[in-house]
Amino acid sequence: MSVIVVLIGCSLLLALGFLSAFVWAVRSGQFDDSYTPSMRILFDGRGANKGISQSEAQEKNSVRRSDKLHKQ
Amino acid sequence: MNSPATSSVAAKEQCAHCGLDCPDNGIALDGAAFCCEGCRIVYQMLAENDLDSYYCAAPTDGSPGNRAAAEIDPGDFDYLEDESLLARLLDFRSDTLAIARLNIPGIHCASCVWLLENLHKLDPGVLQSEVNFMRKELLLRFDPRRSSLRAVVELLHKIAYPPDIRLAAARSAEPPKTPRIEWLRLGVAGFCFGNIMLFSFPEYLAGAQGLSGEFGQLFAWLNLALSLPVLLFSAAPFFRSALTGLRGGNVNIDVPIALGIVVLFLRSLVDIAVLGAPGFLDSMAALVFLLLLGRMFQRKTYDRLAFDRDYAAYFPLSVRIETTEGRTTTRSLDQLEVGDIIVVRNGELIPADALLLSDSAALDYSFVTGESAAQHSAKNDLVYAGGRLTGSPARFQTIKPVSQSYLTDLWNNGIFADEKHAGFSDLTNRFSKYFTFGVVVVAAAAGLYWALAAGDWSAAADAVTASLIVACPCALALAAPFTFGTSLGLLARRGLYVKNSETLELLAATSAIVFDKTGTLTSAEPAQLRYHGLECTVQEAAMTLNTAQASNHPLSRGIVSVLREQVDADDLSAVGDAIIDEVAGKGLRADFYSGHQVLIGAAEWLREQGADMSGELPTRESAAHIAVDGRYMGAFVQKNYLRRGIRAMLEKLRGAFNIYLLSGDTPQQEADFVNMLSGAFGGKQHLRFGRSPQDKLEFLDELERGGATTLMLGDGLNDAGALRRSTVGVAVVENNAAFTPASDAILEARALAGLPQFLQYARRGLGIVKLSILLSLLYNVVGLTLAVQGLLSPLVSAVLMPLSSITVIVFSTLSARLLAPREVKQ
Repeated sequence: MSVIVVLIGCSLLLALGFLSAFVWAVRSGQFDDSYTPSMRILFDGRGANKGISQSEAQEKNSVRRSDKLHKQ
Repeated sequence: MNSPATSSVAAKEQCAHCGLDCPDNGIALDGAAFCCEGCRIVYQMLAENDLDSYYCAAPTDGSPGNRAAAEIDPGDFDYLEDESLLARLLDFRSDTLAIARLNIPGIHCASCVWLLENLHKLDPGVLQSEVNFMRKELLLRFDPRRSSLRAVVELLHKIAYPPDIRLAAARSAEPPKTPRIEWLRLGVAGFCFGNIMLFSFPEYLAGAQGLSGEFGQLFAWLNLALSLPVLLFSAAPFFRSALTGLRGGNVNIDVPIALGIVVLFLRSLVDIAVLGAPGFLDSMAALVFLLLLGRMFQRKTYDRLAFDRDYAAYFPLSVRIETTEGRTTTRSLDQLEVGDIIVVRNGELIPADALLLSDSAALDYSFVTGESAAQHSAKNDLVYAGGRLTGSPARFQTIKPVSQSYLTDLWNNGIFADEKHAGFSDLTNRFSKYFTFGVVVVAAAAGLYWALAAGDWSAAADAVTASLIVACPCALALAAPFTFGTSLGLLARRGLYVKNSETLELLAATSAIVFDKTGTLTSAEPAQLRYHGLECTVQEAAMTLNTAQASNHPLSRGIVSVLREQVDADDLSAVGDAIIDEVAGKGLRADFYSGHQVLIGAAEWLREQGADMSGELPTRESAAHIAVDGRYMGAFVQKNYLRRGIRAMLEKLRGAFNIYLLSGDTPQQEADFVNMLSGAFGGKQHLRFGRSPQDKLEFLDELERGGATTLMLGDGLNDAGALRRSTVGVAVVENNAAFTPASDAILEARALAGLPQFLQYARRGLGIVKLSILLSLLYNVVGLTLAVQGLLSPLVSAVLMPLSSITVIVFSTLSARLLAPREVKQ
């Protein structure tokens, strides 16, 4: 009996994990454009993100944050 | 990188940048050939910045580059410094970050995406650039301290990806993509539905005796918890829509749906909390999930298309103004004042009614009036907004503000203020009124019977709630979305992009069809001309070319493009100058100083001018006859004057609809056209020439008042009023990236001949929806029969309701596919 309750708890937790993954994917814009990423994968080693230095990458993160602020 | 060693290219090579054939005087650099200086500059710039893998980034045929545009002047983008304009163009702005969305029509392959996403290498001020390929849009984030919108736009021009900058007001009218919240609603509903089903399954399997107490209660309470997000979050749009409908005194389809969902939840709450029964939450979650799925399916967005556009979207953002000191600068269009002197270049629009200050100018009003011939204006002539300048730049002085000019006048008409189709309610919603009424009556009758006749109050409550639950018109609400959603998808693949399912339903009711001529039935581009007649000498050809160059008539332009390939510059200059007269609507007469004479024009006119017409060719299509020194040579015949398959299409349509033609051209200009098509239209009275944009609007108004459901097909601004006034306005475009007037549907010109099939398919679609509604009603009858007797168990409900929905989905989707005419299916 109690085993089943534990298992139900586990299955719900797992399902909630997938739900939050879905929510994250929607929020981060993965459902906004479903075509262009399929082209980006074709770019070889000299792709858009490789040439960016550390500081630039940090800047990008701050950009994302301010973008979020902007959306809210 | 070596210094550019420029030399001439010998053989016909392909340009290393844009892939076009190089002309004989092309340019070479480091073993690569270029068609023009512009392409070479782009190539060199990319090479110097280590971005040359642009040319091998995509496995496409040929080279990815766009042909480099004309060079830009330093002052061309002055207006992008304007603060008030920047505020409207930028999506976001702070001291360290600015975000802009730029529409770049030139995006066409993976290389474009690669290069544009590497903009930060060309301009360090760019923080990030991201392409949305389907929307042909660049999301740009830059640091305003290190770069500016102007700098980036100039850079984009330099690498041959000029952005099409329009005001945000025009852009925000575009249909929104599926908003993120819709995905979340669907996802949450799906999640809850799946888990509720998991906890409900033991109950189904346990059969009549039910689960043992502990488990039954545990699962029921878990279901209740899982159903809350469905009720409060996922189902919210249905409640909102039902409330709006009721407030407006309108019982739309969401009213019975919302009622069903609420009753489902309340009944389940009482069952679980008070009676210890399992409840109907599985049915509720399934219902909301399927309904949301239907909404998603119906929401067709065409990334590149915009259906709602007003006149502001047609104008450029900026105008070139000559200041009092004689300098030219650019200013945003809002700041254009009466009396300003503006400079307009080849291909640009006149933004406001103005006086011509230069000696002469040729203006093409085809977009505004539908008249295909260019008009020549002389100094101090009044020119109207919307005319497109062809030829050398000219100066104008504005005499009216933009908002009161000729072009914008049309938009002051009342019909542009009203929302189109405001009073229209679609089949499902019309049906829903009777349906809701019927269900309430049945539920009340069942309740009264149990309460009064049988005296069993709990059975009465059971019967009433069960009736409302089982009658929840889930399947009914899904019939139209899935049928029309499938149809919209199939039609879009064939080149007809219909705005929404409502429009498709209206399309099925069409009784009269009105065509615009220029650009709709006929091709907007000058068609390829073919010469029939006597062989002519190089000198004769050169004289004809010289003569034709003086005119802007479409046929003359066609002749020029044919002859230019056969006559080289030396031969052309050898024939010398001529006095050239153009008689509007008749032809051209050139008297060369060398004594020769060339006549180009209508056969009748050539005879009047004294040419010997003994060898005249009989021509049915538009033709320009040629006579040199009084001797008839032959004619340039315009092939493909009409688009392909037009005559057959008109013949097919004439049987079922009233068809009309509206044209801005005069009947004289169109004599050939009348002869050719008056039969197909069913008589001359169906062809109306010389119609202004206002006349077109009024003609449609007259038809609509006469009770007709009209379908208008047009292409230009001159049709904007008629497109708006018609029940369904269809904009015909050469390619789907083109700019179209506001419309309900967009049709690619190549698919125009398929119109009869499209209309037939729309009617079949409506039939399928009716059948699906009937099918869902059958299920409802079965369910109600059980419900009024108090026999509806949660298990029966959980099987019956999704089953009816899925039957309807499968039936409507499959039949919408199978019943598509062959032409639509391909």
